[in-house]
Amino acid sequence: MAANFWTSSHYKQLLDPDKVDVVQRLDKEKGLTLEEFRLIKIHMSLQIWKLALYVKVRQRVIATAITYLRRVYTRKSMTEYDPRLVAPTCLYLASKVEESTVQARLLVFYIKKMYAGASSSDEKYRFEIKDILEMEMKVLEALDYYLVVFHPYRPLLQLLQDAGITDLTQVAWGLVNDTYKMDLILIHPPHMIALACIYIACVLKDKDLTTWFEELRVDMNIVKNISMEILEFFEYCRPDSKGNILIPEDRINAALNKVAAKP
Amino acid sequence: MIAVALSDWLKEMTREWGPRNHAFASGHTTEVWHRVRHESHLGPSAALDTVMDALLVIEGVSWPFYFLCQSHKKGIWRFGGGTLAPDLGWFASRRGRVGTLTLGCAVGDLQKAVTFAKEEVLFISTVKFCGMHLVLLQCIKLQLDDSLYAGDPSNFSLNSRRQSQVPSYKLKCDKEPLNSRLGPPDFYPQTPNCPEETLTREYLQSGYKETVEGIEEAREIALTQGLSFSKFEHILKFKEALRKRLRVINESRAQKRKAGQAYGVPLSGQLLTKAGVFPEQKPCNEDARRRWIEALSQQNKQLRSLAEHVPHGYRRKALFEVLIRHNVPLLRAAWFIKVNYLNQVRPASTSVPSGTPDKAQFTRSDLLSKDVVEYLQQLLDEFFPKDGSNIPTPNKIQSSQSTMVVPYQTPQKNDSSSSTPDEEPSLDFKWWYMCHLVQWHLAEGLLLPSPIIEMVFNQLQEKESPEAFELLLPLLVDMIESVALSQTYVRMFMDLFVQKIQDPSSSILSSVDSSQKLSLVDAMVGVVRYLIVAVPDTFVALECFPLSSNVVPDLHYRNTFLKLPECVDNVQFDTRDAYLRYLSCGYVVSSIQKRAFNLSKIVNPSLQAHGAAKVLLALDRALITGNVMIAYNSLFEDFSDVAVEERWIAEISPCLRSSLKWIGTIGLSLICSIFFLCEWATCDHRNFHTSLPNDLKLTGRKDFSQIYFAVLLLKLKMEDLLSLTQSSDGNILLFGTSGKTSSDNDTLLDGAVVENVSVPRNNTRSLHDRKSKREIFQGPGPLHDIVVCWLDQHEIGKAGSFRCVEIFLVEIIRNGIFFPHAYVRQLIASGIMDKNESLLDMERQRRHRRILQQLPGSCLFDVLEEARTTEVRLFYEFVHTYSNERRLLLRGLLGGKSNLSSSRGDLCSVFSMQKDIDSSSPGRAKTKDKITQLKVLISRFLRFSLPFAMSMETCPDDSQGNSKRTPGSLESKVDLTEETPGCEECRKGKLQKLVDDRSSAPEGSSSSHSDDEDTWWVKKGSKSQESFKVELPLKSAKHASRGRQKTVRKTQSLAQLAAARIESSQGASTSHVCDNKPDDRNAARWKLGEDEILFILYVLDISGDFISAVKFLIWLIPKVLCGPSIVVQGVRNAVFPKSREFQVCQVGEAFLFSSLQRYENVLRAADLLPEALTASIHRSLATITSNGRPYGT
Repeated sequence: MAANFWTSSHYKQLLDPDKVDVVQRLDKEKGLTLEEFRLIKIHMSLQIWKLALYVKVRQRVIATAITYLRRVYTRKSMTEYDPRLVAPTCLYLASKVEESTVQARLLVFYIKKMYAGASSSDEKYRFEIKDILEMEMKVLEALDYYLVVFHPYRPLLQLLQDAGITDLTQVAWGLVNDTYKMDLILIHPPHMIALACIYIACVLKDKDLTTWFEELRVDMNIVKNISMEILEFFEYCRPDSKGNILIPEDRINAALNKVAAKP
Repeated sequence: MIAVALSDWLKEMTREWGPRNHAFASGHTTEVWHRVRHESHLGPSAALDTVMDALLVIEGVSWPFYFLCQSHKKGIWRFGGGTLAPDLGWFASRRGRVGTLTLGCAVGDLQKAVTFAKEEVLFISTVKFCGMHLVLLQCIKLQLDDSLYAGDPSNFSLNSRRQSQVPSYKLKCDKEPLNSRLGPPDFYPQTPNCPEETLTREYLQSGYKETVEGIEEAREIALTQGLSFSKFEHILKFKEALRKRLRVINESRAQKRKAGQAYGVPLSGQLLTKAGVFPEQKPCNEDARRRWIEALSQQNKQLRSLAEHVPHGYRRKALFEVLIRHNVPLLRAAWFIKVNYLNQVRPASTSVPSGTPDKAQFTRSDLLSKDVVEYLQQLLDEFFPKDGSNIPTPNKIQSSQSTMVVPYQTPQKNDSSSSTPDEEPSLDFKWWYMCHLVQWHLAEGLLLPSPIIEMVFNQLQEKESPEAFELLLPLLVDMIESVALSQTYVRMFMDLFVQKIQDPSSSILSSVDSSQKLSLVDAMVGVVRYLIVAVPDTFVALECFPLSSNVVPDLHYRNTFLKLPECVDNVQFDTRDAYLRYLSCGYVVSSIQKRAFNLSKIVNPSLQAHGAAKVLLALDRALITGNVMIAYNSLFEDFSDVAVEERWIAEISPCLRSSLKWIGTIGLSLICSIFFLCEWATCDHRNFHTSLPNDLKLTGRKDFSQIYFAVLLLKLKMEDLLSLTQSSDGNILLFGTSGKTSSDNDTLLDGAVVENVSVPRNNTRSLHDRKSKREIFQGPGPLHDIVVCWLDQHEIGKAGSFRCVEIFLVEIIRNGIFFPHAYVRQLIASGIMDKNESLLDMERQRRHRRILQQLPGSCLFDVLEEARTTEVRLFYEFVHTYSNERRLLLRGLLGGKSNLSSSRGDLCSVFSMQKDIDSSSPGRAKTKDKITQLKVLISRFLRFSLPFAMSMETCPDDSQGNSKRTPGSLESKVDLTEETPGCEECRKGKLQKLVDDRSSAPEGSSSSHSDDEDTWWVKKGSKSQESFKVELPLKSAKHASRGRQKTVRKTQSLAQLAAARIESSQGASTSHVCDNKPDDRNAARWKLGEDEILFILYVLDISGDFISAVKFLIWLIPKVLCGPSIVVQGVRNAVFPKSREFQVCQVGEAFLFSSLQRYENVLRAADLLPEALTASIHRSLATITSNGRPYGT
């Protein structure tokens, strides 16, 4: 499908790194720290992921949904936009945009199924259809109706092919999946993220791609910096022995309670 | 309506996305739709209609069609998108849910659509599009005829409008490709075999689905690399590996770039093609050669085919001639020349490493340049034969002149016979062809410019005809950049052109008509201006300025405000642009001149050591010779060195400097000149004669004449500054000025002048009434601010005595240069007195406090009274404010000793409180006693009558103020006591006490003392202290002789001046009055004898107040006895019926003048000579009058 990232709203809305991880004023007043803010974003990305596994959508739907979520919180506070509702709504909207519509009814059903364990904190994740539809409009507005997202998956495949390392597809793809636990998609053009993932994949699988990289017309320092950021993310929230990222539930609940608390 | 409005917006978006861009298909449509809904508040389907209508408005493009279809499930809107192919009557969503396809078609084609959808139609709805209703079908398992998708449009033609083929839209991207294989990143142009656009049965039936090779659909979500990073040490290892790889990549990139390889392109294929291959020349006969050249001159003959038989035999002149004769196009001619010279000088080796200069190439260029120069020379010789036989016709000149304006037109033979190459072309044509060749080859770097430049220069010099100039100047213009690069060439051509431009009658210009002359001069002026602007640095050493005004305006760099000289009017400008360029040239020249001036100053041996030595010498000399102007000019012109200036300025506290109003507006060199002057005036470490050992006390040796002289220079500078400011902005310096004028008035004894001068002062007063007092406390002028800065950085005591500084300050206060009230305010405002960060700060504060202690409120009183710039009401307010502020600063030092409230608010009450305490305290009473005793001693010594001494005791405030007037008050007081003869016992006792006092708590006592002093005037009103010493004997004399109480006046005040004048010149009338009161026994008893004078002078010497001493002596001149031997005591003489002063003053003329002689340095330095002379003239006049016309009483 023909497309041009450089004339898209996505490109025009790329942000400076220091504009991304900023706690909104309202949240700050509620005492939300930057670290908690980050944790909530990671946690909610994982929630979208989980839900998507239930409703069975393609990866790009998840990616778009998480991008929406992260974009929303560069502009709006968590106090006003409850992350627990925004996350499924983003998935719902993304499914429409990416043309694999998931019915809201279905989403609500799976959400209820997911949190069937029903601890008191999980209660707060349960929403009705009307909540999602209502939030959809708010999210659309928060996104300023800019809905098109370019993901690194497409350039990734192209680049892997050109470099002749299609055997690394799975590793690199996994890494791109991991980048959605960060805000990279709001900062860098997709091909740079893809390159960073290939760069890491080469290190992981010990492939020498020096000649290929040096002929690319890109600033390798930026590629390295993105790669470093990805590694630093893993350093920050160390995955367990199964490779899953676990965030202490009490910390998340504490953080969410902060923004949920009515003044 | 909305549709029309939206269409513009959509057009724009379409331009951005492209109509056939599938990126538009889903998300973008959704964006559009949402925006329409959001902005128009329409319902979902209405919004869709609007989008469709809007799309409809934009015609002529094949539009993608987007739709929403309402799901049969209630309430859920589903977005879909597809392309409405212009040649097909249907559209299809490209990616529906599995197994679902949405089809739409025109109502008219419904049948067809339904025939495609042979299976069950789940849902049909219609949408208005293109003025017709479209049917949306949602079907399951469509069975379609494959032929439909093979692109046979005839079967499915829609209406005629869409039949017309429109040019396909192309996506554009200006990003560079990632590498030689990949296109630009994140850019996906349209492709004919785009899977989404290629409808296959499978896609139709099950929908289009993206697949990723190597990853099963189910796993694409689950993939993560978290496992790889579960170990901390692994992450560290990976990080290190990442860095290492980056280094390797960067190094490798750097190496490749060094090797000259194109970025991102591997060294292969064409890049490895051998360099230096060129066609070989082959021998051939004349005929073939001619045919070859003819072929060369024809554009349609390919060079590739010509390259196979490049003929030998054309070299140097022959080569150029043959090219000219056949008028070979330049590109081809250049090619032939290249081939020719490559064959002549073959490359040494085929592989020339990049970066190293090619020797063969240089030889070739050299050879070609020589040949070209030789040929040009020949042409010129033909133009201007030595015997002068072949003077070019005006016709030729005319043609060449036209080419001068537009230097290079395509060379054309100027006669019709050019088509036959056998005919000899004209000289003009030959020349211009060669010029073009030269230009071409210079641009390619194949010619060396220097031989040609030199040839042009030599010819310009040699052939002084305008025609030669016209021929040669265009060549020069071609090489102007090379000329500019060489200082020698610039100098050569500047000399030549400047001479020609400035001397229009020179031979080359005399013989031509005016328009031609104008164009020639214009061309030369153009070259000169270009060089000036291009290489201004070269001109710094050239000394070719000033240039005539038709080249550049002479904007003299010394003027602060650059003004256009009048001569500019003579220069005509066609456009405003030309005028501005002309002006900017002038600015460049003025900055060049400034630069040259600075440089010459730096290298001038006489100005070495920053001109300081020279200035010093001038100042010292002027002190002896009295030549003020030489010193003045030297001080303010020779003393200049940016580095030293900056260092000196840097020593000033930044906070103080930034808080001063004027400092920013004054040049560094002026500031430093004044610093230098201050240092010169107050420091005597340079001169061992004047710097005496500390324990040795001598009088009469040190006369402070340097200080007086410095003040004189400062006064001059102030006048200069004033006139400068007044010329630009009327009344900035007014406050400072008025003080100065009044002091100047002292020297004017003519009443009329005084009155005249006082008129503007009144004006300024009215002006000042309007100004708030705030302004008075601001820096009154640049000199004041500079002195404040100087005080801040001057280390008192290191290089000079504090006493010098004190006297200096007193003098500049008197002269209206320095204003204590502003100084105090500036110290407070700058915060310098609150800083306690470093020892340096403390030291500065100590210095400022020490100065402040010596500047009691009375100083301000003097200044204000002298300046008379303020109303009386304001006057008290100022002095009050000053005293309070001064106390605030001084109390900071005393803070430990006094437990007074530190809040600023109740300063006044604190102040009055302290005053009360002070006056009642025993220490205070002691001081008062001492002063009273001192006064008694003085009056006793001067043999004043006792009642006077007693009366002084009754007004201690007055006397105390008076005796404290002199700078270094405490010291002088002690000295005074010390040296008072005739009271040995008293003296000894007092001395001991005073010394004790001084050593125990000098600061405390003196400051509390001065604090109190601040207020004496508040109680007493206007009382002069300064005049006391001068007038003390006089006053008492008058008092005694006339028996009437006279209020004390100041010497400097106008009233005093007037009185002095009356008394000196119109003494008769006074005496009349006095004569009527012959009851003054005191007068008869008290005389001002030589002893008294000596004593008074001694007291003044000790207090360092030489000016008062000199003025006192001058004042005495008209009053002393004539002749050395006449001493009249108390007897009224008929021959000399002088005023009472005459009788009272019993000092001989010789004694007086010899006393005055002691102060000759002061007389000179303080510019008191005119006063002295006036006084002696008055005296002579009085003597003559009284001698010639006896006084009739």
